[in-house]
Amino acid sequence: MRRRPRHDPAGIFTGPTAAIAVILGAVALVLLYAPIAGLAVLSFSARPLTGIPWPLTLDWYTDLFTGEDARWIGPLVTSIGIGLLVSFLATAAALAIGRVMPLIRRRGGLLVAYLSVLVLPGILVGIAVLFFYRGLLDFRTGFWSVVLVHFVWALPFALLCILIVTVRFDHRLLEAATDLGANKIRQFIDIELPLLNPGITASAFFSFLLSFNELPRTLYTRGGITTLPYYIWTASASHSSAVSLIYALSAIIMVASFVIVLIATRVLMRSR
Amino acid sequence: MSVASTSLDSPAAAAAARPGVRRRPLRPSVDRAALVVLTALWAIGVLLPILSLVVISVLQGRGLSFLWTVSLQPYADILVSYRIEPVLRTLRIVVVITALEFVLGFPFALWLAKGLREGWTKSILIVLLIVPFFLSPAARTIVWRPILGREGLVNILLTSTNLTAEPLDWLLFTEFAIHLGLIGPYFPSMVLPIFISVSLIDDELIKASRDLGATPMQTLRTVVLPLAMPGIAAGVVFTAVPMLGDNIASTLLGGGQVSMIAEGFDDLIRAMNYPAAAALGTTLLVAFAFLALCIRFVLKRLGTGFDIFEGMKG
Repeated sequence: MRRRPRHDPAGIFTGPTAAIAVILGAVALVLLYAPIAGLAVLSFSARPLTGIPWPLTLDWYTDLFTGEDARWIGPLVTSIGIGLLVSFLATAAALAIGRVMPLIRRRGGLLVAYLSVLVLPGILVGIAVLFFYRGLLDFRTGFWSVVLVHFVWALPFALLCILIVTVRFDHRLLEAATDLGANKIRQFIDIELPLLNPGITASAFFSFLLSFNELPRTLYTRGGITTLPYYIWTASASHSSAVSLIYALSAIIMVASFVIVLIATRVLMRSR
Repeated sequence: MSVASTSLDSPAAAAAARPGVRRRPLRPSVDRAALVVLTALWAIGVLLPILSLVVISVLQGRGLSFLWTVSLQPYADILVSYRIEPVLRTLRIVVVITALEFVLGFPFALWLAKGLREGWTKSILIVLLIVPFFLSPAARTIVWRPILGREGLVNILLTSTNLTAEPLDWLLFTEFAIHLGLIGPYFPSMVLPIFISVSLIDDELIKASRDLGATPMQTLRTVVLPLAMPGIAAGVVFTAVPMLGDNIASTLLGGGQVSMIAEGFDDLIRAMNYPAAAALGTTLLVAFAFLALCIRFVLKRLGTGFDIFEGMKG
């Protein structure tokens, strides 16, 4: 019998074709991560706008906390508030939907109804909400409309996180609990919640991050409020010296987001 | 509802039944009510506003007050040359980048799913593909500017090593820059769906194909490709449709010189021509619906379906 190649459990790849696949993927991953690494490096550069990392300095980071340049703190508080609210709403809604969805017959169509908005360009969703609520119904846009568009953005991801755990949930456990005399609230708290917890935790983290970093949907629905991504967007488009500070600020946010994603992914993968 | 009426109809029977048996049908009905209410809210509060763009696009109006008279003027407004040009450019860029993502992503997804054993490398690569969804897209695009700019890193390296006498002008604020800026961010949306669908293919099928004497190329064409079709379709939709409305690469890397559909929205809204903006949005919705129908048709012809619920159990 032929010896099976060590790196190829299924036997589609030969040495050279595997190398081609890896190189193609590496090219794209470099294009994906080079700007992320570049941002981190340039945030320490004395001349970030030239793209040259040296000489190194911490000035931008210290400037962030002094005087005029500390104006990002207001938007930060706004974004954290909206993020927490969206995280709670999206996770709660996803839980209510996701724990029933695997049991019903027309789940395919229902899933499409919830996931289709994931594909739509963000700016299209923002404009739709602006025209419908502000134009046709004459509501003032503001905090609530930003929460709404962020909720629309986060819910499909939250639902996927919850579904990953609910499709494997064994409903005989609840029947057993019923037979043992547990009421519905006890069943939910003592059986469902602990078993679904990885999905719920991941959903809460991911929803927060999606809201916290969201820009295109916010652009047209923000009314008078300024979220942190919007603040960074206007500052970075302004060609002013503030751009250098933006690198430091964005680097901090990116590192924090990275850590949160790693935690959430780990929680979700452990459940498997 | 039905539970309540049965117990009213035959109280004796209900009382005779064991409590567990009687209570069980009630439980899903409360949960289902929650599902029905949420779905109704979703349909009215979210899907309806998106579809209302189609209606607004045939109205007349100035600013946000619409007149309820049907008019095709909005469509005429977006068909003028300086507005249709960005639309055509966007379509061209989206087709090119989606094709490029497929070329870069398909072999990689295949390798990730079937060429690489479970282990640390695989987990890390998957995490690297997931993480960017949750990072700020503007922050990671803005960095291309100092790298590609006229006085930026690439030009400094090129001129100081005398590879070029003059700094290159075409690196930034050109279609080149937009292409470069789009490849990275849209790579995971192509790779992940293909990866998932290929992962679901049973290794035994591939081994059987090999044992029957198929070359790797034949196995790829006759076994893997048809079974991976739903993932490829999802990858194309997830890459192409959001890219149609991408405003970050074109604004930051096009710098006003190369505008795309997103700037068209911005322009029209600034000019208070909301019905025309809705008309532009409708064309995007139609493009999305058309793509989805095409894919549905192709998948039906191939006879392959993809049950996401089964996929998640894996």
